[in-house]
Amino acid sequence: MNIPQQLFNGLFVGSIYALFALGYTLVFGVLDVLNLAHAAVFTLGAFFGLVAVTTLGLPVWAGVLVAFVGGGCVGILLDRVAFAPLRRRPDTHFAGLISSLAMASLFIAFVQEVFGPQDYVFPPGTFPDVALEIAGARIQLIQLVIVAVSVGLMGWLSWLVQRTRFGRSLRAVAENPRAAALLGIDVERVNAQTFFLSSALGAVAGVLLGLAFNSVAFDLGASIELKGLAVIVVGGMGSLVGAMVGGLILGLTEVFAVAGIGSTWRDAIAFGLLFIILIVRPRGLFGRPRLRRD
Amino acid sequence: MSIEALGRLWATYESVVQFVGLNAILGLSIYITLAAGQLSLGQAALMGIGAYTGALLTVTWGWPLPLSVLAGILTAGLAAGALGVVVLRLRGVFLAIATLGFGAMFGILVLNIPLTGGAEGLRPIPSETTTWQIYLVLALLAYGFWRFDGSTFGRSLFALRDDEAAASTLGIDPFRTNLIAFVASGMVAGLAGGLSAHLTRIITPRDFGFESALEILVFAIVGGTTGFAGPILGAALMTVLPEVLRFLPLEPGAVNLFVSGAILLLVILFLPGGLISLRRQGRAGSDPRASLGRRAGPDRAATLHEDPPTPLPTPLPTQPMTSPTTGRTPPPSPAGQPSLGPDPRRRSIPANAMPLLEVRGLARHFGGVRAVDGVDLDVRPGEIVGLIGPNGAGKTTVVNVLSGLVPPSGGSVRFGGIDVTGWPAHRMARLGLIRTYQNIRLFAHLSVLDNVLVGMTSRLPPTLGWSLLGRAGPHEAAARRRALELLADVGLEGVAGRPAAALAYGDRRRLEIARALAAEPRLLILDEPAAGMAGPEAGRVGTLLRTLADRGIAVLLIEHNVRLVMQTCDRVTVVNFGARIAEGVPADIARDPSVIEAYLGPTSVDR
Amino acid sequence: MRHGSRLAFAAAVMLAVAACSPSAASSPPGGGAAGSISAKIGAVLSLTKGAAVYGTSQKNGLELAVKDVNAKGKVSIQLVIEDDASDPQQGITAFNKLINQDNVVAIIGPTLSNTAASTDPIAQQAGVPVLGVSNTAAGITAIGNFIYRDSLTEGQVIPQTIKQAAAKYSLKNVAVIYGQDDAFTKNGFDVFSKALAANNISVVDTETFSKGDKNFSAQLTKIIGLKPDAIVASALANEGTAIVSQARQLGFTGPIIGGNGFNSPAVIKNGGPAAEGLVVGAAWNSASASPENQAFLTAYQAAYGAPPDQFAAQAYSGVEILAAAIEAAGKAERDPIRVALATIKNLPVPLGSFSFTADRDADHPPVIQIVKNGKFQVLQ
Repeated sequence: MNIPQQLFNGLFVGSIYALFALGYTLVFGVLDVLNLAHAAVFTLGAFFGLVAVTTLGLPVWAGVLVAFVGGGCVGILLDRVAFAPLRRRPDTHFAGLISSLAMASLFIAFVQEVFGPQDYVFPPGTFPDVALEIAGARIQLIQLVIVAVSVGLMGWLSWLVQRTRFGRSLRAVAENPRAAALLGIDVERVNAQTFFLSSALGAVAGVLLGLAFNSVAFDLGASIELKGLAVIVVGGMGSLVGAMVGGLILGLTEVFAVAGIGSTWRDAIAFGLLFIILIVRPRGLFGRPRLRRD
Repeated sequence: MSIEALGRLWATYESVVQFVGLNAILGLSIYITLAAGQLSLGQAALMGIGAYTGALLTVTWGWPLPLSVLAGILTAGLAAGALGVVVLRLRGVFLAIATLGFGAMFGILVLNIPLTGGAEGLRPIPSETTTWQIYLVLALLAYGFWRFDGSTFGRSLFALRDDEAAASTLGIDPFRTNLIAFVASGMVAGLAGGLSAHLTRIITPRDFGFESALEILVFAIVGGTTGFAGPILGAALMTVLPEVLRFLPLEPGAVNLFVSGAILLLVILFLPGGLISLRRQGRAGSDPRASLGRRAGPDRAATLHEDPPTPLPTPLPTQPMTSPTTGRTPPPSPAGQPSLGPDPRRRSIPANAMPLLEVRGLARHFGGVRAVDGVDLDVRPGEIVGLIGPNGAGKTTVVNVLSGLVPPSGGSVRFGGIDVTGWPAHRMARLGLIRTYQNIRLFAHLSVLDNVLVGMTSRLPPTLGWSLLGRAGPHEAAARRRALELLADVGLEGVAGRPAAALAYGDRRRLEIARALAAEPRLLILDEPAAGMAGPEAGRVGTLLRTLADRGIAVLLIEHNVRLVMQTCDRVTVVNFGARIAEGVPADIARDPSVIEAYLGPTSVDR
Repeated sequence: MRHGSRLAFAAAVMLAVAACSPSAASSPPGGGAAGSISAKIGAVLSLTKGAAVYGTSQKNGLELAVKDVNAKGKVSIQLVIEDDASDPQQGITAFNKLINQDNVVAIIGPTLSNTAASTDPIAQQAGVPVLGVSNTAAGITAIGNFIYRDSLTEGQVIPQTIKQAAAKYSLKNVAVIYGQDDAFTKNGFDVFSKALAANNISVVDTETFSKGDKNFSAQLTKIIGLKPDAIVASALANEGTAIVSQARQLGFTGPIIGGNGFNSPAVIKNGGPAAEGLVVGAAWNSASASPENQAFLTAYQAAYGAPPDQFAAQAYSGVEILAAAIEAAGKAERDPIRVALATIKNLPVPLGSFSFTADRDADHPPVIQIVKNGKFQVLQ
């Protein structure tokens, strides 16, 4: 078995899962709701990047930027339409699941109407096609970039949440929105900012995945949706480090399941892991116990 | 329209009618779990288990349709039970994700078992299910659901959905009740699977995947989950919709996704009760709140967070124990107090008996916070004991631990001579330890009468059988009579049919007490029953407690209103910073320097 | 009550109106010359959800063919297309509508074999001929004597592909990768396995993937580590392209062999240089110089601005085959069309010289292609 190659494969897939999960878990951590439209935003983001690069002829970094901003705006739209109106209802939690599901199907319908069902690719040379050979593993430059970007984004997000004024408001709202409002924090604004950030990250993840596999289609998000859920549960819902570690764990487990047990059972292992974690340690590896008050 | 044209119309749309029926059955299957407040996304897989079992038996061994469908029902029920045992300690989003994981595992299993035909599907299955069979089954189920609303089981489910903690402190076992609901829901899903497999001639793993799971949920949400008619309506609308869209002058394509997405969004935003709430708005007061308000939390403790404080009533009810809603004063009874029926069992307990409740060194820590740290407490039958202390002293935590909602970190609790340390809430309630809540926790969507009936549930034998026969049955009838008496005692009999959420503040307090009395407490713990009440009103509460105690009921009163405590209680325990600082008769307590210090001297003892 | 009943009423009205009004048709009756036979034909395609990418291609092929056939003036086809949303239930209702409400004389489709297993018995019972243009699963035409297909099954394509590739590359051992959750790719895997055994080629490793997967590096690393002579892949175009690209990225230099699923210009366009050397056994030779094929390629490119794939070619040919059967029958009626279909012999269509077997399956020579210089060419 080519262990260095498989290790890197796992690291790479794990980074993609983590990238997707970072934004996913952020919304849960702050607003305590699960945004089922995250995969749809991910798909939209990939198309934002694609249009920026192919139609507008922008360089790839600008494409990523366009996806970031575009995805963020979609996030605000999502918040205003699907979540904000439900905030004061006692069933926010459940209603949010459903309304984000509805938004997801609207987003995907939009993508399919505009772009059709076919696969799109980035023009050749969008990203330098460089292959490296490290310790017997063949690695594409884009793969290295993705690993670096997800680690970097996790670091940046953690810094943002732990060390900035914005982060303080974020944590206050996460802890107790009512108390935060009493302290003079504009809770609605923080909510909107959270959605912007979460969706922007999701959209960037979409572009990077599209670039890495050179394939963008309306069902891009469907392939990662359930895996992303597994990652944030395993890592601990709301935990940024958990999303990163959970992603890597899932990626590595999958790769070594394929290498060791056989690919027919790959997904069973992913969901088995999800199941076991939920039963044994429902708050996940890095989740805080959710006991706010007695 | 000629007969022939009608015949054509039927030939064209019979299959739509069939799918409406099947999807309605699926909608009902998820409705059972939603009725208990649990979101299960495993319905599609359970349907698949029923479908594969039924189809394999028919195809491989030539079993007749009814038998193979029956086998599918049982297999799916078993699977649901096994799943439930494992996942039912989870709540909210976590339960949804776990059941989703179960669905994914089922799909992978089917792909890897040679018997199932894998991705190419199991075929050909004889197409034997007929329209009338589907609708016969649907009609039977609908009847069952209609009757089930009025049974002890139905009420237990609804009570769990509205407030799991309150239901469990009335003796309803959340795990067992949810498990039964899970199994029933699995069986109904398996039924739909068996019927559908014998209709579409082929089944593939994809028919039972993530998309189908969401689709089933959408039926229930669009239709509404406050009544069994909701999922049926929702299934009908969402199944007919694509057929209607075929006639719009549009290119077939993504527009279908648009329309179904938009309908779902509009319903959840503007019609949270689903389609059936349209019908209900006319009567019984509209209920804008959707039925599923549960915070996510991986474990049971998370559901115990405090609700937002109930707004103080304005104006305060002037006549305590009189319902402003009915404007009626309760019938006068000897002491001008609620007349509670004689209870020989209680009376037989001598007043100087062994303590009913013995608490020693009780502790409860939250992380590093020692909310309760070594509290001793005795309550004897017929005795009123006050538990007081400044804000944050840990009084409510003591109550939560005693009632079994929160396990103790240390210490022991004996009740009626039995060591009950760490027992769950429903077992404590069945022993006779019943509590009320500081912030009043009624079952908002149930009627006033049903709230009281829930209080009796754990003392009643199951009445679902009688309900299905269309009768109240002797136990139910007696329970209703008793519930109405209790309501009359607190002056609420005139509003017995109204939803509890529609009551005014004072009436809600009264209802909560009636509900607690319905559970026949041996020890009644009242958490600030006089909160928000003016002096004379609070005094009436005191007189009520005395009446109860005279009947042999032990009473533990947690109050801020120190005057009420001093007037009513036989003994008083004072806690501060989680520990007991004083214990004794009220007169001594009032002079105790440590108590006075705890209350910061000048602070009025009578707020 | 008010709103509820209004909604129900609106739905009832819509249904009633729909039932009485002529159905929407996606193409008007052709302006054929006088004396041409008018025929209303239905098509059930997966235009949304999972299989949308194939259904959309088929829709293009069908609409183009109807235009071309109508222009010839002998048969005037009116085509009614229904979407089944990649779902057997909706396929069933679409079939019932076409048969009973639109009164079509024949149905093309449905896109997916699994849907066909649900829908074709309905047409068989109603006596409506069905022409599958993409169903490759075993047993579809065995449903009854009204069920035909113009799509070669993997079983008719792959054995020859393996035989020829084995000879050319002197294959001794190969690794196989296939999509386990898709009926087409799973069936392709079964056929590959048999063909490999028949040619005494040993399989060193079998790997699977799921529909929608983007990343195959774990499976491919494992395969490459075992140093097979070739990789055999049963996949559809999207996953297939990714497998080919990633295998090359991971340093695999041997031949990669695929089936019908790879026969799409998207594989070449999206795969780029990685697709070079890919061996594809298929039902349709896109490089065929026959006038029918060349005309089809030109017309398709002009109409849709992109080259057609095999789904489009088979759909296009399907309309021509039906038109020929209607012409032979002399009238647009269900049973005569069924009878006439059986008589189709050596009809020149883009797929080649086309006939039906006695079992109503497609009968025309398959092609083994290789990607060279960014084009499918016949493997020599």
